[in-house]
Amino acid sequence: MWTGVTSARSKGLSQESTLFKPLGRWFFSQLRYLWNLYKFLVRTIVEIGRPEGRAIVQKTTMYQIYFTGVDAVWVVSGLAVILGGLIIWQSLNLLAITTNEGFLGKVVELVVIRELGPIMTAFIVIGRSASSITVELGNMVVDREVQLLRSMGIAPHRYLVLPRMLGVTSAIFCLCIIFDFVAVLGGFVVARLAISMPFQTFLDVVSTHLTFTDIAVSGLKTAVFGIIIATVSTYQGLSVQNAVTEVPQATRRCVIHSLVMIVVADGIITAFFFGLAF
Amino acid sequence: MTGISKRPLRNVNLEVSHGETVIISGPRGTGKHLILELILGLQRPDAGHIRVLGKEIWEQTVLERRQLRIPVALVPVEGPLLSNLSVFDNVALPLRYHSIMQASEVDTRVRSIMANMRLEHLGSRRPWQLTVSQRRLASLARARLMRPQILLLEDPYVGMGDADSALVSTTVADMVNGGCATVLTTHSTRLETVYDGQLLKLPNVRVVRRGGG
Repeated sequence: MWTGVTSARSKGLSQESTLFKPLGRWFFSQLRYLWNLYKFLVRTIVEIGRPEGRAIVQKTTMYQIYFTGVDAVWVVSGLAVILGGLIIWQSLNLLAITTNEGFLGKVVELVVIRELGPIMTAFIVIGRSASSITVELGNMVVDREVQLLRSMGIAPHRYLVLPRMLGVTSAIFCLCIIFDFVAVLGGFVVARLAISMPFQTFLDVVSTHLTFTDIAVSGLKTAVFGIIIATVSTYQGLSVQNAVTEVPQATRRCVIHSLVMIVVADGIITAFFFGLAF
Repeated sequence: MTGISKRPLRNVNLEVSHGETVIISGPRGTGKHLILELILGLQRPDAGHIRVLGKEIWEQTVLERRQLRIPVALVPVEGPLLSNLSVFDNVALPLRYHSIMQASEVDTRVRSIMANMRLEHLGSRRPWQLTVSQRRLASLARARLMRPQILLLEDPYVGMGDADSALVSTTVADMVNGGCATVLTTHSTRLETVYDGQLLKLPNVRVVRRGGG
């Protein structure tokens, strides 16, 4: 009898272990991955203070800003004007119910400035630049160019990672400002066409609700997103070992991990600064 | 290096003096490239000691190890140049990065060395626009520009015509005569015939054969 009880209990335990073991393994592998990303980021930050190759790093940073920022202005602006217009359009439908013009300003503040600007800009940068960075660095590893750099006493973290980190973070910050501005402009065009709202009224409605905290937190989000995107994309690129077939896999990981981390970081920052207060 | 073990190497001892050329020959997979990586401190041995320019390489900090690689020049067979830089910028890269001299002086010296290596007309081109031997020559030009104390060459004559092979030999011989310790690896086991005797023209040569060579 005792044997039967024991075996039933052990069966239950074994069922639990088959469920929890892989889950635990997955959880610890994710923690290890985050820890590796953190160490990678710290190694890059340490390189900021080093004197070697300053001119080369600055030049590469400028190229990265151009590629990630300037080249993406039209995409970001196009998306911003459409999304800004659509949001105000939908809000005007609600406005007919609430009859409160201040509602428009609240929508611009909450939806566009706090959330949509940073997150949409980050999505565009992930699609355009992060994937390209991973592919570029992955191919450099496969072609033994990273090994060549190391053989010349050139640290890949300083020569390859640091300029991309600085470039992507600066570019995403500027792109977010452009996105916010153009989205608000798009919203105004729709408000003007739909309810003939004068520019001054629209400006008053928006500026009444917009606070310095909104802008500062939006800036903080873009900086955090920039660092996440640059860290993940360069880490994945340099994690390629030998074969070209590893490059698309690293690129897929770069895109998925960046998206997930950005959404999580967005949630944490929003919860920390705004909580449930509206 | 003394008592070095790391698969496929087992208890390898090698000493190269200034002004000496050591040729490591043997078939593929016998760890010739690994020996070069060990000298550069790019790979850590499982056992044994590696002293480069009088310093135990794995007793140095990361930064010191990085500094120790500056007077060691590698001319690899694969990926000898960075594909996103022009040939001129490739040759100038280590000098510019380590700020060894003024920018204007770097340009003058790069032009001069590229002219010596018959590459002066290729400065603005990208590596993929060059032939294999031109890429190898550009890589050797970069190595020579750094005036290294240790030169590591990987199969330097493979895919080269007679004129380019002779140019490589002359350049390496100049560097060895200037006191540079040179380690040259080759998969060929019949050195005198395969490279048309170019290897034997190098000064102060010692041949080390590995696995089946």
